[in-house]
Amino acid sequence: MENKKVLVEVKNLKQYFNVGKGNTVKAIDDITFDIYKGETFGLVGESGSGKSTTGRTIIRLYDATSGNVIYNGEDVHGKKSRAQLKDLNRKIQMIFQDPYASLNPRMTVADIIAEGIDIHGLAKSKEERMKMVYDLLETVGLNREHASRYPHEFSGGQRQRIGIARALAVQPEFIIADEPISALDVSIQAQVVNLMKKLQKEKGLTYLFIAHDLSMVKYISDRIGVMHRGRIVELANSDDLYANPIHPYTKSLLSAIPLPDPNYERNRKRVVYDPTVHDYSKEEPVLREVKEGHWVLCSEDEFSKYKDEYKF
Amino acid sequence: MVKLLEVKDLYVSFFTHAGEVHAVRGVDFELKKGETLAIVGESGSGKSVTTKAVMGLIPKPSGLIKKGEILFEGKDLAKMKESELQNVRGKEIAMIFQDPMTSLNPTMTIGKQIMEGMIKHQKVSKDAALKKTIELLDLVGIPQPELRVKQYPHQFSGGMRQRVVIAMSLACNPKLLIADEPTTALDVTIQAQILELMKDIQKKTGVAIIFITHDLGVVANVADRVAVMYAGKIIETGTVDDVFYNPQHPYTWGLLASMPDMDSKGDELFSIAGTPPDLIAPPKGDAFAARNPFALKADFELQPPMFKVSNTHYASTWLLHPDAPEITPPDAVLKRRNLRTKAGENRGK
Amino acid sequence: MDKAQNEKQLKINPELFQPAEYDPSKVEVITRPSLTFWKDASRRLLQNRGATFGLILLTIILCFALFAPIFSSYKYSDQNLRHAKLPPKMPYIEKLGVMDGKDKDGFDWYATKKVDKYYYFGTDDLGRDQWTRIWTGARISLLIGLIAASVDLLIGVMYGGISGYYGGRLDTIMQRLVEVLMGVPYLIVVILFILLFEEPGVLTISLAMVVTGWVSMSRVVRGQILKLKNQEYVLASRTLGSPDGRLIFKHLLPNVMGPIIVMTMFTIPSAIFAEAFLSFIGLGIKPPLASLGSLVSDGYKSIRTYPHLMMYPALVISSLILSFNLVADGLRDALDPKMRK
Repeated sequence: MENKKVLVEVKNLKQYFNVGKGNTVKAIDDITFDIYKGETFGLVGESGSGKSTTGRTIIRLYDATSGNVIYNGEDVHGKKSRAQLKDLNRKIQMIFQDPYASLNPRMTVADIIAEGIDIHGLAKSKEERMKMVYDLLETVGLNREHASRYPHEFSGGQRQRIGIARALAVQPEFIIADEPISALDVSIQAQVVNLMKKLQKEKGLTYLFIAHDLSMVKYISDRIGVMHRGRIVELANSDDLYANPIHPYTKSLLSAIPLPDPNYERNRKRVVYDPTVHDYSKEEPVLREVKEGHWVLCSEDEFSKYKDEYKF
Repeated sequence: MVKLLEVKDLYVSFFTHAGEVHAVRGVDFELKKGETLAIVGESGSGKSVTTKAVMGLIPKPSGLIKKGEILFEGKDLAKMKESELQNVRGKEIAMIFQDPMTSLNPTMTIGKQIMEGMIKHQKVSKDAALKKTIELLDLVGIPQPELRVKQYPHQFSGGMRQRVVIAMSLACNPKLLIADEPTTALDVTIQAQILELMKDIQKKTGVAIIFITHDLGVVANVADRVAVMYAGKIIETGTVDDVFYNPQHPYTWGLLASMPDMDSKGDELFSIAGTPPDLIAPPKGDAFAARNPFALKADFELQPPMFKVSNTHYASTWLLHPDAPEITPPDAVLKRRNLRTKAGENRGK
Repeated sequence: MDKAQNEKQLKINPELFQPAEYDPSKVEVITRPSLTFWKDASRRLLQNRGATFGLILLTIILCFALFAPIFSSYKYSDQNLRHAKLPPKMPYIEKLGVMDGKDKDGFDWYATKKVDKYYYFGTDDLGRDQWTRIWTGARISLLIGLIAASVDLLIGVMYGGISGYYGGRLDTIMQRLVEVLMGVPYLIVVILFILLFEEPGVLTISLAMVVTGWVSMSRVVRGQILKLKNQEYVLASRTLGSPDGRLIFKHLLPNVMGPIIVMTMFTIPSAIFAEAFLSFIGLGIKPPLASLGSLVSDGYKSIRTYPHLMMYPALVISSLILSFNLVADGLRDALDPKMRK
């Protein structure tokens, strides 16, 4: 990994939400990770694990409680001039989860896709703007006749592709995909994932792929971070993570995924995660590198235990 | 085994301002006692509508069972009056919905909600009902059921709520349980628990289950038999091994091949292009033909009948006709055939 | 599986077993005709019988209010004491035995007083033509409703929009202020406001209703904005770098339009109604000008002897309020996004 360039650095990021008096929800509790240029970084976790909040905080939809997000050497959350902000908005884009909520029902597809073009003044004339829209529609596998229609006329998969076209309109480098396929039917999921892979190859995009569907995440990601209760508990190369999960939570998560293979399902042994196995009374756990590129959230004792167990 | 439910040539339509939506177009299936049938399909394939028809829950006047019989222990539910249906619903056939929060009344204790059906259908005393309720909560794995009966839905977590819903559905010892995407709203670890629970309950009570889902992993886990629906029709049906290891319909191929398995990487996923047809004007012939790279000319012209593959396995595609040309299915499907031989070997041991 | 057939029984033209052409680009075609939101909503509105009826009724009343005073041969303020308190008499209809110039005892006042003119809805105690007065009154009532509703709309949308959009401390302060306003009895505010002016006119009465009336509109708008601003399409626009103005005018307002329109449609009749009430307690429009409310209030005084003086304005005001409510109800159903698929 040494030769790879770090594109996004997330450093000690914290995001607390106030819910009523004195009650804070630690949606993200001190997470640190890097995303390399050109890779797909998968972030998995169950609902409430903070994975979506992480994505939204990185793109500044939320202001971080503390910590930094550094994009290409530049602090995303620091004070910014309007021009700097606009520049960041073009470089970092987002694809959303719900294809029914992510498109404004009162706008035509052309206006939705051209939104970024309009905001950033990327087209010099109306003709150029429409040409860009048509090109984008074709890129995501739709045709130009669709431009004048309204979102409710499209199926979930088509809408998701419109959402991708909207993000692509500003020629971003880094795309945060927040559960982009969770709301889609199985046959449509593959369409969207294939499209994302194709676009990555053609445009050299970097993805942060957030999902709870672990099989798809493994397929698309180079590296994966597993989140649980606002913290990253394990971070590794995706093959390595699936082959040798170390943290007990990861193990339980992996053992719970149902696979479309009846025989495997009949013999599946589910591992149950019991948070009381950790003894963190003496020290707070931190991410430690158990083997090269494979990080686990653990205490000093657990660290040596894991190291013994996983001598590769 | 005895047939519990038999659905014959079922047609259901909805009347919208845009026209008549042919949601279910000639569905046949049967269910034996104590068996789990999974109905798989995408949204809009008619899987939910089919089971709603069984429950007599097609909203009137916008929806209508146009044709067909729904024989439950020999009685035709499609011709029953609403008052008769109410005796079947909840008592003989129970239903579990996707969202546990909306199927529970937030202003009533869960104990009361479970007892309600029991007192209505079985005419038991309050004390007996309470005792049974506590037993049920215990059965579905809720700790300290004596205390929990007095609590309200919001005091339960998502997974626990779904357990309560399951307990509620079991209150009158139904013979058939219809579960409409019961785990879709849950996290994978909770989903695994609920699936285990349902299998466990089936073992203990012998209830037959119709399980509606779009998640093929879940199907492989729970089902004995599978029916794959597309555009209002069952296009393939068989035992879970038949369908997962020897799929015949190109749509089933597409579904199975579009899911990545744990060791495929980098290569493009097989995907089905396009979207399901608009059921206001269902296409003539095989509804899947336009999206089917293996389609024959016949698929565009004629509705393929159910061809028999084996005694348990049927599929509706012209590719199974003896005159049809040989076609090589996608790699992922070929791989599955090997998996089956492995599965056979394992069972042999 | 009874439907499963033996393969050999099927005889099919072997040509059909040729592989068909597969063109994945064709499968993205959408067959249904394109419908914009407003087209869809208006069609839904017209399918609603109540709303259609309300719409027709409303149009009729509007036409009369607009044109009847213009084409009438009397002015609303023209007095003719000789012709006072005449019962209604309408050409053609008089032959049916109603509106024939006879009072409830069957006494023909037109013949007695030797009046050869027609007073369609009769005359009041000063001999003013009720027909002209009622439709002029309808104009005034509608005007009050429209002014009140549009000022409500303006203030309510701005206040609710700002409060909901910016949120945080500003929202807290603005909402406390609204609660204080809500706490003051509405009638007291209105009456005090009117008493500030010697002669209450259309504008004062309308504004008096706005003093507290905009609060409910602002609440509706705030609630909608709060809900919408976390919708993914708004977030998407923010990640694209949309300035506030674009977010508000392109994404938020068009999607709050439905509830705003419905709310306005409900405000108009309630303003008309409130004005009628004010007239009843003597704080309404001052004569010779009349509103539907003041006509009813005047007529009420002689309801036993001259029922027509109260009946006709009451009929018009009821139909007007009913038609507005029917249309508003229909609009609510037509614009409700939950009904859309």
